[in-house]
Amino acid sequence: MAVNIIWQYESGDYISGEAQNLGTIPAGEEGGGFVMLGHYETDVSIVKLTDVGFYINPYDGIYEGDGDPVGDFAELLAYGDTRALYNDRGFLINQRGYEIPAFPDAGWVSCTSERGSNPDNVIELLAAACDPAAGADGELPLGSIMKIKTKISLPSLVRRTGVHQFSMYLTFSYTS
Amino acid sequence: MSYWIKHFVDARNEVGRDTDVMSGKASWSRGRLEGITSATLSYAGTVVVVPGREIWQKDQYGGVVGSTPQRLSRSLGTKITQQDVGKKLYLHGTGRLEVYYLTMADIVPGDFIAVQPDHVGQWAVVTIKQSGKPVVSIEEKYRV
Repeated sequence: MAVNIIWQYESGDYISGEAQNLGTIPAGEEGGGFVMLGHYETDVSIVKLTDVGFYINPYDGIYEGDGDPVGDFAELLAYGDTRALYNDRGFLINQRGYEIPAFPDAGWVSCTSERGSNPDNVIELLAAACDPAAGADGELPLGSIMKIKTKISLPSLVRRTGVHQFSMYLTFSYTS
Repeated sequence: MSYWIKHFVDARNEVGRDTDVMSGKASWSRGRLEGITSATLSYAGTVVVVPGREIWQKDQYGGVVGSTPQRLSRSLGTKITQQDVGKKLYLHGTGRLEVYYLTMADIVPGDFIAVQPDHVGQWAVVTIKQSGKPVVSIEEKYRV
């Protein structure tokens, strides 16, 4: 183990890589959101992670939805793309949980075709999302906790009803 | 076997094999950083050699939230100086398979990136992905 990422809910329970049920979200509404707290452990004195960011991908487990993984992924990204019908919906991340008020409406950022859709095209971790705060965006210092909230927002006209699945990824870099 | 080698001006070398790095016996950032003339990186069956005085190495990882991250790529970056302006960045393959040299030259064949004045202080980076294919890019925040 050079770097191990630990994710927890606010309750302190650990978040595993297993599928999470985000519930039922009606068209035109939002839901499925929860707060995640993350930090890392290392056994080789890596003082910070860099290039830290989030993105989504087609579901990488055994698919049990009503469509197909690639279609579900494309649908979420399309809802995030700014279009007349969709307008910045889909899968959203808010990194401003340490502000007062926490997670303000202005803090939500959608995963789109141009942002948050692959490891080279991420939603960068904000310095302000870390406590103690990081020195720069994209950095996670050792001992600092990142706090983010996620949600799903659907347009009033959805492409497909039924169970959808996707995967949320974290990417980062470090120097030995 | 994945490894990096720092080559120094006094003809010494410093090697970081994955096994040594993972056990804390080798470290790029805590090792010697002065007097580097070039560095070699081996990953996914590909070897790249990058020249320069200030060189940095890092690995990119990624994975589903809650699972163990996997290494996605390894890279070497060399800081672009005023002397590089006007030259062309080119990844030069040798006669040996999967061995590449980053070249900054006035005239190069094939695809290249022209170094502009606003690139000074940024980084010329060679990234090897899991497929073994190396790519060259110029990045502003490579070493932070």
